[in-house]
Amino acid sequence: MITAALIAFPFLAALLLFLLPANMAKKGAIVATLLQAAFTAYVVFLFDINEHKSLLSNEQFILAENWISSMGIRFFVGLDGLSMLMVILTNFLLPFIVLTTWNKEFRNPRLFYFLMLMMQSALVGVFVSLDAFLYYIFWELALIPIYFIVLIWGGENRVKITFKFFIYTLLGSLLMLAAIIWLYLQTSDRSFGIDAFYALRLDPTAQRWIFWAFFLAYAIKIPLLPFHSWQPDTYTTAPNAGSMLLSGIMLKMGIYSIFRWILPITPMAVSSYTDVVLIMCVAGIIYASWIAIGQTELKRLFAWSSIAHVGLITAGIFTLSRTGFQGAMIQMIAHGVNVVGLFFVAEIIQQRAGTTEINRLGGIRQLAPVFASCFMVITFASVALPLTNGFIGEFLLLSSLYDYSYIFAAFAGLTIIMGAVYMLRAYKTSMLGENPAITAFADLTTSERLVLFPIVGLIIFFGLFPQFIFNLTDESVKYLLTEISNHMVANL
Amino acid sequence: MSTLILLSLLGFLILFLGAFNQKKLLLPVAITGLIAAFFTNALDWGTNHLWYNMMLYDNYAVSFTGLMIVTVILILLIASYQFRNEDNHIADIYALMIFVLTGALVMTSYSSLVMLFVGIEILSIALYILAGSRRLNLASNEASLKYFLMGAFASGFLLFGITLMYGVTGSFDLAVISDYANGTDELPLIFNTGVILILIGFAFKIGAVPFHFWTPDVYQGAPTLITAFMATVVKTAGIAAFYRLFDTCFSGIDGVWYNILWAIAAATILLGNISAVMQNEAKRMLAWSSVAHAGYLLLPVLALNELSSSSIFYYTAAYSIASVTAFGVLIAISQFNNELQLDQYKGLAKNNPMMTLALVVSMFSLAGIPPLAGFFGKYFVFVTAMESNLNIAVMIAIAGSLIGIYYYFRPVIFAFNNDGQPMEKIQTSWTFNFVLAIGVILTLLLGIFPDILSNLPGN
Repeated sequence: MITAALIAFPFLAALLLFLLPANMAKKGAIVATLLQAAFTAYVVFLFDINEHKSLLSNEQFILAENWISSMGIRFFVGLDGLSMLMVILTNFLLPFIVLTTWNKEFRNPRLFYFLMLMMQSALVGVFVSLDAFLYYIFWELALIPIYFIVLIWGGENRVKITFKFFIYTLLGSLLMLAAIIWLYLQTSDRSFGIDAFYALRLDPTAQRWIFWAFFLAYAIKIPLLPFHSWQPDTYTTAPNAGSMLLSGIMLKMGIYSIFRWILPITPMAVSSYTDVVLIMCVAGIIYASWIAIGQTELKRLFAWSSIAHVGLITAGIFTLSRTGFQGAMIQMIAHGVNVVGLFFVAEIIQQRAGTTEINRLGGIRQLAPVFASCFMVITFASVALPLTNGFIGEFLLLSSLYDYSYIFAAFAGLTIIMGAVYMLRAYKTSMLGENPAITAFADLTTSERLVLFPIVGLIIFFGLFPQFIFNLTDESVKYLLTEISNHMVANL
Repeated sequence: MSTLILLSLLGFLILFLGAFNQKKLLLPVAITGLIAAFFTNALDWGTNHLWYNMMLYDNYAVSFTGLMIVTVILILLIASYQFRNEDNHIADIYALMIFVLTGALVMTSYSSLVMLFVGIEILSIALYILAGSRRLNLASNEASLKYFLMGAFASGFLLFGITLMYGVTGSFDLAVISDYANGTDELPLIFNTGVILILIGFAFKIGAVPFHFWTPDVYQGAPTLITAFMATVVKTAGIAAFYRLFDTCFSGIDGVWYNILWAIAAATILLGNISAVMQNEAKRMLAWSSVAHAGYLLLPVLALNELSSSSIFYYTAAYSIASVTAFGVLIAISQFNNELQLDQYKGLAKNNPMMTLALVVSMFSLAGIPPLAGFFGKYFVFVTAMESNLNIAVMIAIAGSLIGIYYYFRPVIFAFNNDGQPMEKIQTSWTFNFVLAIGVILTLLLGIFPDILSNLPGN
């Protein structure tokens, strides 16, 4: 029941927003997301980190109700360490994301915050679904609110850009739907349950088809190299809160789904395509970093750097090692926190200076030292400086790649150098030096402090004590690895 | 049978009410009659009455008839909104619609090819008149004539096929034909020709490629309300009749028609969707989209397994409800003009939130976005097709759905476009609002709890 409540609460809160007067919608949304965060904290408190034996005993707070019984579709949800981690990420980031809009007046605010909360509900749904059909529904539901957020409140060219974004992601989803239906038809008892899917021992050819159908959906969502072209435009044109949702949480849907749906169902295809995927990832890392170096607009730069980061996360997963998995987990959280910080920094600069072109900025540190310091910490985190949250994840990911093949590790390692180049340059040009055009730049207001200080705190906290994330996800990771090796052995 | 009699009498009653100028009574009488027909129809559930070897009133027939009656009720409620300021011929239009429904009922319950033909003709002749019911409008006349000529062609093909079938088997009875088709090792060429001719006749009626070319012009030229009628009731009846014949008689001989129908379905999905992309006129776009939907509906006919009838039923239900809602919005925005450019949806959202909601829900449902009924319909069709290993056809359907997003989203994007003057608040009547509300609620309800209908019509 608790899991269902985690999905239902933001949804109901979203509906209730329409009962509030328009100018109260923002406050209502903040209260709702804070309550949801508190509720999540309570669930984390109840969650037993050490419980583990098999798939469904690994999942806790399971709810399985018949939904469409004629088709074997259930409302089947539960939490394991991995889902828990993603739910924590979603529900703790959302209050910050809503809070970043404190100084902004949206037209039709009720609709805006309604869509944000709907999105939260769908995201939680994706992370806790154990029925493939239900998972698909939430996967699609998450797309619709963000589509409207960008379409209605976006910047230039939003119609074209959102369209490309929607078509692109829907292409992936529909292929995934076909794969889900196919898997469903293979199960012995006609079920969409994850246990039935995991129990399938598909032959290698079938695995390849299924792998690509799923993987394309995720590669588009994450996005990996040849499928990334929707991403920079969408992140740039979206209102900042939308970019945060997209990059902070929504792309994690893809990474999470690789763990949940690809690895245990098609492990043989995964191991035969590891090199292909790694080449995609590493090429993406280098290409995106290269482009990021050439960017002069902050949001676009952050968008490209995001492609580089998620490329590394995906590469770590496909090494199929415990280090890689753990690195991906911690880096997902780190990336989520950092990217919200970065986009908020861009938002603040946009509001104060009227531009995010780094060449037209400069000298802000003298005018707004607190702001500049926060930005500095976030910059350090995203270039993976030790003692920040970015370091541990990136280190683990690179070391897992090194164990797989030092060549990949060598190329992927360029991300650290190139990341430092574009991030530090962006920081230097926009914050340091002097710029006569910028004469006034107010320092952080209270609401902005309420966002940036906790983010800085989290960056340092997880940089020093990442153990919590390891503990939470360790059982899931071990389980995944045994499942994969069992599957491989059975197919030998 | 009681439903058939009731509907025929209702049609005459309405004609008489019109003749005696009782305009106020028209709508209440028609709606009451239809509700009564819905219940007498429901009473036949599970009875499997076979009337004189001519009509078999099985659950399949009952389900589709029920769906069509509900659709007609919704369309009549919109009609009362559209026609509130006009005073000529309303009774005729209502009566003709009910006659179309009568024909449609026969088409879903026939057990003899003669009844199939009679049903199609009852339906078609009433429709030819309806398509031309704006007598002074050139486009409406053109639509009527085109529809008549094409319909006559289709009937010709169908009748020729039926004749050949009779020549070989000596009977119009579906059971006899089925026995013959399944019991004969080497079917004579003349029988196979008959099957193909009947298939072509049906392809004409439901507007499948390459027999679709009348659809855009007729849909565009006919009064919008009649277009809604053709896109929903007529299409439902056509596909129901199609499946009934192929399921009963030709399921064992799919070697004869399988490849042809596969090609027709694939071409219909692709051409319908691609052509819809290029349209700037809302009705024409919906016309092409209805061609595309006919294509999706052919997949379960191809698959011909135990899920087929349920998925056809569910799909037509989802599609009919969404279409009625979409056409309702179109009628209100166009202010009863017969044309509506897509950019005339511009600025709708600001002052008409409920109508925008109806537009978004209906368009998204037609596009197949979860959790709306249209999505589950598509999903159901895909499952049915993949169950019979139609994987490539499903891939084509997926490509079609992707293309579909483009044109279904255009009105929605225009509606939220705030450049320039937002649209004024549109005056509506309570019956109209009722239809939109029912459309939105049913679309959501069917999408979230598809079990309500997904077991109909049963096996």
